[in-house]
Amino acid sequence: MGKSTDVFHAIADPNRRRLLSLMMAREQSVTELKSRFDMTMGAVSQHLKVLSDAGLVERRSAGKQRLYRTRAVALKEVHDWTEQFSRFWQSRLDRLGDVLDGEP
Amino acid sequence: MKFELEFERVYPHPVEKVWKALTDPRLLGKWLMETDFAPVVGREFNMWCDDGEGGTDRYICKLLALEPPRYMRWSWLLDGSQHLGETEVTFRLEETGTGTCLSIVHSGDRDPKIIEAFKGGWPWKMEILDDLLGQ
Repeated sequence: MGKSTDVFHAIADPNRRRLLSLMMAREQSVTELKSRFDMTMGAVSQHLKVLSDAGLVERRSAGKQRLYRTRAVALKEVHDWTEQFSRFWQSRLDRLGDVLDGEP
Repeated sequence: MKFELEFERVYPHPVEKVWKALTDPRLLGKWLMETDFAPVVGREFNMWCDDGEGGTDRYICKLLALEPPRYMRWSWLLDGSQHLGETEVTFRLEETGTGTCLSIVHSGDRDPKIIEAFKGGWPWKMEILDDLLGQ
């Protein structure tokens, strides 16, 4: 792992994507998150740090616990980029449907 | 940045008919772009489309693989963006009970801003993000 804080690097890893998905549903502690993975606490913390450095996760303290939550707005950067391709192909696929319907 | 985006659509038409629309330049011109495509593996072809500002964008493509009537792969490069590297487009057709499922996968390295920002590689699909964003 480099020192990249890039959002695209952060979501490259399937475990981190799963973490994001879990924390999208509701904020959770490291202990709760760990229980969903076959990983050490250290490994989960490390993944959370990468996500946090990329701005994908925010955390707050609640008593003794630290709670983590996904910041959806950061994921939107990636989504907007893919939207360009999506718009192009979806509109072309619509047109293909019209062409097929019009051909004998 | 490496990317892989997949689009899928089912059409109520037989495989052969959909295949023809993917490989006949007259029909390609009607739904994708004006083109001088010919179904010869290894051959380069062009596609032209309106750039939205009164000019024309040209895409330089090459037919990389062809297995009628189910599989085809093109390289795909917007003229003037050679420094970004090629992308590839793969077409797959599959019969379904009601017609034909067309899958298009567009993959490669693309956006300069993102290539700058990103040093590693990562494959992923659009659906993953859609899941995460709850769309």
